[in-house]
Amino acid sequence: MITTILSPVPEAKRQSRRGFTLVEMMIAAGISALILTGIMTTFLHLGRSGARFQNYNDMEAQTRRTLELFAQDVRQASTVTWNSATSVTFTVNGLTVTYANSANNFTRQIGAGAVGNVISGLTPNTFQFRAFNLDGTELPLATAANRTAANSSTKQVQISMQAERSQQTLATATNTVLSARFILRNVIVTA
Amino acid sequence: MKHSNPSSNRGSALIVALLISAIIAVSLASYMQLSRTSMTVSNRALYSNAAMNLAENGLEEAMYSINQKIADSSYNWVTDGWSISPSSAADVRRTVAATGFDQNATGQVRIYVYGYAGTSPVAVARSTVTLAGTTGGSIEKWVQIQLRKTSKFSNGLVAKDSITFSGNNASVDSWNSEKLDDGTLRGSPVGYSAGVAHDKGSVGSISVAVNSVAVQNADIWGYAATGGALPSVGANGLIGPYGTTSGSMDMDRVSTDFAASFDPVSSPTQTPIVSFGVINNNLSLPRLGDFPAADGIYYYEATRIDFNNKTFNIVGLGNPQVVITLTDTSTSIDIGGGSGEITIGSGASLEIFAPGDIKIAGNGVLNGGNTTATANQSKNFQIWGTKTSGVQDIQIAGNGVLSTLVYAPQGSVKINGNGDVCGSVIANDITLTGNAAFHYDESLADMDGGNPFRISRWSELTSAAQRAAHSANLSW
Repeated sequence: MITTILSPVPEAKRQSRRGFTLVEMMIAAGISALILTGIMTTFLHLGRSGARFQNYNDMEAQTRRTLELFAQDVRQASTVTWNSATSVTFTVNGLTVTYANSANNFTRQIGAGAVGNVISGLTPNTFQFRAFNLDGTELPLATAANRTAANSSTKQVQISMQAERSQQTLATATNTVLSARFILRNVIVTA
Repeated sequence: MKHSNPSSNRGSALIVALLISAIIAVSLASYMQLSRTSMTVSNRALYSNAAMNLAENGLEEAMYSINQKIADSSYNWVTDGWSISPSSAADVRRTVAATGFDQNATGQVRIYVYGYAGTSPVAVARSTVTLAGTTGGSIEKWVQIQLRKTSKFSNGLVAKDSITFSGNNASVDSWNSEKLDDGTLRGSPVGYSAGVAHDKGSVGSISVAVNSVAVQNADIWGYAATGGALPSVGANGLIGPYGTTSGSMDMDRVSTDFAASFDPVSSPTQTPIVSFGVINNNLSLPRLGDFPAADGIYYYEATRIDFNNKTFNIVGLGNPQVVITLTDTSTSIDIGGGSGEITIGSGASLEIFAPGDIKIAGNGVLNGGNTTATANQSKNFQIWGTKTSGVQDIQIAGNGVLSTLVYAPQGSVKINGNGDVCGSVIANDITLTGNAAFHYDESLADMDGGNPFRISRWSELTSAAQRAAHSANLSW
């Protein structure tokens, strides 16, 4: 007769091998889901706002640099020629410098050199040049005759525009720009 | 049977937690870095503007001192804070510290004036704003201005009220008696001729009234400006460059924002050699035995000049310069008769300061010669109206050619004649009768006459090469 003697399993070991109950699993999964959702949402928001912040930063940097450059050119300009309501050419230290709104980019061109975008991604129909005479009265630029008259009377120039950046799943970031009225210090407006 | 090790489970959780924390930390660090960059850029942009304002303040200091010397000859640069440059006695320099910046920023502007006592000084300002903290580093702006003296006669015909051309064939153009077209000085002044004529005659009125500049049938080869309404041009008149067709205005040459100041003038304060009372007979100045003042000018005084068929003559050795102050506030000059006239010898000059009406008829004024080639420059015959209120009637006739400068803020000036009129006229209102051809002398724009300096060129020095030219003088 063969007698099998089962060795007794210790109580503690039996307890550790016991599986989770369904209720425990559901609670654990629920809590994990909540925590993960929180972490993922926070992470997603961080990422999205970081991207928007980057866009704002980019527009801000472009804008500041452009206004500095534009101010330098306008202050030193000795002549001003209005090519259209959205394009103007200054003579600066013997060179011509043309600023224009071209295909929703604000561009700067020295002489016949390369056209460079100084502010990219403008919101359509937001760009505007404004010209003022010696007394601060605004000069119309709508027609060719207006612009010809403004060539000899422009003493102050102002620009305004709105830049924008958009990416998928991100709300569009916009940056509204309104410059000071820069005075053309070397232009004599009265003969 | 292999059992999983509970301790390795705990390790996985730790690694996952660490990874998530690391990702969030990197995101936050990027955020912080972006914010920091943005703040630095904003801060530097703010102080960049401050540096530009500081540089301009420095230039204001320079202009104040330059013009103060004109207004007050006893003004002393050194006691006002300037010091003579160690590299040139003709230059001065100074430093002005800026106060009131926030965030512990500090600033100063160094100013250097080249040729501070000369006729065309140049001032260069170098402003430096030093930022404190982590956005540190300094910001510099370099600005240069070229100065030149203003002139009351920087335009041909200038009126507070109206300018009228009543003749059918009147014209306005210009020439430069002292400089060639490339800006270099001529060997000696030349008179007006077709060969040196330019289409830069200028006519301006600060009046906003319609017809403040009534061109009618005159040809304005140059510019016209008013304070408001466009000039009116008749069927045979024009305003523009050579080639402009009759009855039209070139809008590049017309502006409606004209501004001008009509500062009153006062008579010279020098003690006259003699007071004549009424000059009613032939008189030639300077007389034998008269000695000029220290500035080389003969100063005289008279109640008025009032005669018919007589001659008031300025002639003598060494091209005498005569200044006569008249005191009659009603009628200062009344010259008539068929042969009454004022004659000024070739090279001589006459300045008249008069508070009353002026009428020079008869043979009019002979300034040098009776052709544009032989006439003296217009600055050799100057009429200064010193009346400060009411109307001062001024009627002048030329003798073949009238070469003159008239400055009379209250003056109602009528220039009669069919010949050439050279020079410049500044008055309350101006009428050119007859078919006079008016020629503005562009060299008058550089005439000083004790006027303050103005900025003729403003430039920001942005490149290293531009700054290097002044670096040695602005690095103390």
